[in-house]
Amino acid sequence: MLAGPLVAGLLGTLLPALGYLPAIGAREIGSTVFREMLAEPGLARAAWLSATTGLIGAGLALAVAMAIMAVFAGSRWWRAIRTATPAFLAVPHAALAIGLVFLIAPSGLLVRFAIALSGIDRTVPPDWLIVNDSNGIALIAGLALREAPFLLFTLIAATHPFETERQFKIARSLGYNAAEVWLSVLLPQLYRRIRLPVLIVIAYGVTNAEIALVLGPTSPPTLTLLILEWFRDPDVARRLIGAAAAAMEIGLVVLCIFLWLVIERILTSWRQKLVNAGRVRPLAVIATWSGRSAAGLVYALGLLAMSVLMLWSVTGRWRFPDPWPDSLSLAAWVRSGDEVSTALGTTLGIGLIASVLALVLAVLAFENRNARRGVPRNLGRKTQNLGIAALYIPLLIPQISFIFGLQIAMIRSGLDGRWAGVILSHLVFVIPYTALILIDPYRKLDPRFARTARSLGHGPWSVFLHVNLPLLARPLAFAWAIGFSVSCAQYLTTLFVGQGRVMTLSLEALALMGGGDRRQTAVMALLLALLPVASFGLAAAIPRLAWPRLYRRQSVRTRPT
Amino acid sequence: MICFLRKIVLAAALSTTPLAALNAMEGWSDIEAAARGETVSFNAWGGSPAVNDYIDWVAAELDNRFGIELVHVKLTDTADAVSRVIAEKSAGRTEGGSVDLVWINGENFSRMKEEGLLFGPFLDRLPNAALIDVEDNQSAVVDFALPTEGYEAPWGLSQFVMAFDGDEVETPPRTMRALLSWAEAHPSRLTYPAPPNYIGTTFLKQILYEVVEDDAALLEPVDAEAFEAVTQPLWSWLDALHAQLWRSGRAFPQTDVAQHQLLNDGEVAITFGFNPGNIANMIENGTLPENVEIATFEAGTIGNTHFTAIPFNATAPEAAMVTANFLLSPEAQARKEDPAYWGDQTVLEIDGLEPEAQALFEAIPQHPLVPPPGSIRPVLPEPHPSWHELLERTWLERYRR
Repeated sequence: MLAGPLVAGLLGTLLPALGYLPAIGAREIGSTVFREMLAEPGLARAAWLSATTGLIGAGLALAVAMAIMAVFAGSRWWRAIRTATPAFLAVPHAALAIGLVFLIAPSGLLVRFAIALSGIDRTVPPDWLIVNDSNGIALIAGLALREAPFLLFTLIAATHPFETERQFKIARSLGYNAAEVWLSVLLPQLYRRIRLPVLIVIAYGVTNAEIALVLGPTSPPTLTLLILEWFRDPDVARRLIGAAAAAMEIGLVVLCIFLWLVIERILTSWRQKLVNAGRVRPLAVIATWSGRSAAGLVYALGLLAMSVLMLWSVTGRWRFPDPWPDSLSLAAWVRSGDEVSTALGTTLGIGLIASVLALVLAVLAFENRNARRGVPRNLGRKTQNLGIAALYIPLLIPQISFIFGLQIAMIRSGLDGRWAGVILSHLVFVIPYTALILIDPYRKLDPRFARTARSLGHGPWSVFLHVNLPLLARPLAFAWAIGFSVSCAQYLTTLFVGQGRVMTLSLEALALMGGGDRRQTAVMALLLALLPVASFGLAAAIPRLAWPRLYRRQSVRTRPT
Repeated sequence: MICFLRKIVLAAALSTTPLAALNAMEGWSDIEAAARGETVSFNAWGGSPAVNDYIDWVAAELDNRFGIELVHVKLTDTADAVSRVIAEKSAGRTEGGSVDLVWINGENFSRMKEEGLLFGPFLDRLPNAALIDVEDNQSAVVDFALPTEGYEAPWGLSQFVMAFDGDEVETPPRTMRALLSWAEAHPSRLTYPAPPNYIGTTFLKQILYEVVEDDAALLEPVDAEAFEAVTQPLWSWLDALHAQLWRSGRAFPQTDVAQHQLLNDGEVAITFGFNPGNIANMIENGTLPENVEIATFEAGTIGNTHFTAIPFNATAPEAAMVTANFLLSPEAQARKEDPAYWGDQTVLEIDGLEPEAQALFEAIPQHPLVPPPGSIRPVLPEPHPSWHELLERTWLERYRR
């Protein structure tokens, strides 16, 4: 069912890249378009920026997530960190970036506070190139800030409580401190489990539009922003160049992933050398310090950015260098209330159907895979793995290039402008994320539980209901919440496939965010975060409500997964 | 007599005969009848709450008067609607399309027209088309040097203006020479949206008008070989300016609204816009500070008209025409010109209207900051679209590497 939209989306990118788009009279297949693309000003620099910011941002996010885990797991702060992390995931990327700009820009809150506190008489902000700097440092910071909580979340989900606790106890009894244990024993094991999410974060970092648009360099911008520009150029022939660049971007992502695997190897052997030489302690000291400061920084910046957004949403006027709004007003909220009330129901309906469908499909696929575990590797298994790998393609290229083909397929099948079409196209993006969360829990699910149940005469459905479902309740609930959030966030898919007849919250919100009124933007960002935050709250509550005896305690060490 | 003349001019502009126009008028009641009960999907930029509120009002009026349901599909970019029509054409959907009416002008219009993606000509079938001012505003029938030939209906008139912080800028620099010396005296207090943003590109054209020797050439298709020599003064001017710009010209705001935000944050002292009334509206609602003032360039400012058009495969073309006609009614145009609602200049010729319709425009409270409609002169026409492309391309080659 998903192969259709997927193939259509890819063809919609590749055929125009080769010069074939009959609707605008382009019919000659060849490499002309690629040559034209290579002559575009700033292309090489844009590709370089995409690759470096994506790789460094993802690496930094991973380092921060691991350092936080190493320093705080099991400490008294742990519970707060675990509770706060999913909330960060619910915040729309663009919103976090916009909040961050208002915090760190030369006219931002930090400078305003500094001016107010120091008493310097200054009415003009300093001319510092902090955001939109030409090397993408602000973009890297934004990516790390947004993706560290995501990786921390997957790390937490991948932690195997019984095993972790056992190893922890043994190592502590040998006189190692917590960070040392994590560095030398636990993190290497965990890294293997979150490798796929890390690769997804790299792909996102290289291809993202939202954060790059707000924080990234401008002349030239990153590759994805160039592609967007070409796809939106009134000269429709430029779409071909956009498509060629999108095809090139797939290559760029693959290259970055390859580079990452090389870096990973080098780091692994370096760490191994340190462990073998018994010199982990200095690294552990660094990890402890950087973990503490990183956690502080990530959560403080994130919280401040969101608070600033909330403040802006009730601002009337607010000028530089005032540290506090000159006047407060609920006008932006009132205005938005009218605009979004109907869209809320549509978003909820589509999100629920898409996320539940994705969850069911993913569970069916994984149950089926687990049932076949132990069967010798054969062609069927290999194709299945390839199929699963193909699922992630939509996450590797900019949506706008992919969606054109998807849209044509939807029109051909008559599904455009209907809920069914919108849900189907959302699934293309919802399923990979849902599956991503479930891969590892299913992999580490002890098959002996199910085997025992089956030997007691339970059928597959009964085994799932009474054994796997309760055991996997937490990852299943979070996978659902992630899927729901992804559906809520879909903008281009909903606009193009829904043909404007299916109006969701993100359509209303992004249109208004384009207006540049920061108060309106703030209200919309908060409204956009509302449903996802609620879904994560629900996901946290469901396992505890449904299986109170299994999920009574919250500690990472004793939590069954 | 004036009225008669206007009809002739209009008829000529629409390449039709008065008789045909008359026949078309007779058919109007049939069109209204066919439109009743239809839904119009109006694809229009949705970034401004003021504009959205205005469209909501239009929707309510259409429902009351004509039994038409108007759905505002809020776009972040008109190109997305163009994309959708292209996709529908690719998939072979020649009727029952998803876009009934689109807010459009300039390049997007010229591309849709060239690719045969538009329905029409339909303008001569709208009764209110007779009220349009085509004598004083050429751009109502020539959109970016391309004759509209009745494939789009004028909706509003925009003119390039500069808005500035009145406390910091005592005398607004109203020539390019003055602008450069102002920037030199106030380093890092000026910037402009990076082309291909259309305000950015319009800024380039505005400079070009002042520095080029023969500005009549701008209305002709560009001579690619002469382009470098002709535009040399523009690039030298920009080279001199860039060192003085905000962030030393190493970063640019990507849109005009982003630059308005920079003005509000105190990062720059000047911003550029396409509509004095809209700037006034933003001052009123707090998006721009209260000390902002508006100025125009001495040599005249580029003006253009924005339109509504109907795609070739619209589901409800009749209802779309009734909508376009209502948007041209004195009532809808007067409300649109009022800065309390939107602040967009009308495309109608006020003097030619019935007295009660004229009264609607006279009743609009004059905003102290906004020059009275029709007072910003001369209106410079948009250069031929081929200039647009080369200017953008050259800018990107020079400043994006």
